[in-house]
Amino acid sequence: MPTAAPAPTEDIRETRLGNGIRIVTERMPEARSVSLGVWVGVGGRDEPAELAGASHFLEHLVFKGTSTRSARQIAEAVDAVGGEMNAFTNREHTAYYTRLPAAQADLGFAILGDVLTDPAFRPPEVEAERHVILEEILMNLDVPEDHVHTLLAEALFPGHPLGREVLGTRETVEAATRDEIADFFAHWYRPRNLVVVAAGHLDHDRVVDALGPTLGAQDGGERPVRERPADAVEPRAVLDDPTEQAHVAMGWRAVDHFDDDRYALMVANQVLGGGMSSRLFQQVREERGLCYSVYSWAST
Amino acid sequence: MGELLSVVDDEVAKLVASGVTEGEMAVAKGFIEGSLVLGLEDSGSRMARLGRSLMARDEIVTVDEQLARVHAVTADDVAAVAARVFGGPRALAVVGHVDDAVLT
Repeated sequence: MPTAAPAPTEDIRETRLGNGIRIVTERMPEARSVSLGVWVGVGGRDEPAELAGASHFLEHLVFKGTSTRSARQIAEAVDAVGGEMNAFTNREHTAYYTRLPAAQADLGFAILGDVLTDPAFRPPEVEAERHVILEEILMNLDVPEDHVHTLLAEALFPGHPLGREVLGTRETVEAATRDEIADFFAHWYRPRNLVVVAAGHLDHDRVVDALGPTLGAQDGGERPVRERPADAVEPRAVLDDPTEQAHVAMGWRAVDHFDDDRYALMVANQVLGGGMSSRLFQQVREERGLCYSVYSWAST
Repeated sequence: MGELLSVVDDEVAKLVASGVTEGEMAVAKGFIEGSLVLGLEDSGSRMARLGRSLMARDEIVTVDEQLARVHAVTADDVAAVAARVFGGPRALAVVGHVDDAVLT
């Protein structure tokens, strides 16, 4: 039986189902849409090195169809109501989301519930998607302003999975088998590692009921155990490349996402390089004309 | 390239040594608070805000609470976190054709 937990405000409600899945909703009475997100607590840092990119590969495959729906049927159903459905993968989690007119919200609950509990992983679709992802990796290598961030992450977390590119490498994506990806799904995509969030013109109890037959019917799961990276950084990572412009990124290890200093870090970042009035923009671009683009960012 | 690196290093050193002014604090906090509010008018961004916080900290924070936390930051807090972060080693990544000698 679901048990209701106390909610911090009257508009945000939470239910934890008996199988461990957390469902959080925020009611926006004035909205005409509903956004539903299923957040999975697994990402690039949780992959073994030889399976680097598995979380992202899996994210693509989830939308390729289930035992009862084809990829095309899913896309058509969402298009037919003007909705959107997409996903992203980062180092610590993978999120699947859909935004639909409120009257069609049940469609989104049904499709996301289905793709996240019964993906088919049909071999021809796995192979087609593998090529899509290899192209995505090549695209990243061709864009120096993206590639420099890949190099910076490797330098900031040398030898640690946090330093790896979430897309994986050409080698790992070429080598990953259909069964390895299916096993990765079966292990991590379970209730205790999932959080469902919905916001918009909705009724909390109806959201909980709508997810019952799919996500509510699963069991088990665990959160990944994560290792803190060592303190050492690689001082330099240089790719000698004949681009017209040089792309430079400097990085420091910052604070983790439980640290009380994270809000002060947001402010420090904003002053240093957060906008057109920031010190770096003013000094590097406006005063000296050294570059076209300069900014700083902070991530915890 | 050499000039760029030394200007950025100087700005970082200045932030650590002298912190931020009250005027900069006001602009920075105003930007963060304002863009947080402006970004929360559609259901997708509301959903994402809750999801990120649940993934990172298992925590539900209201928008008002988040705004209050930003608002509570003082210039001393900023100087302290700058000293903490920039006191650590720097990593430098470059894509391009650059003379090795200027990369310190």
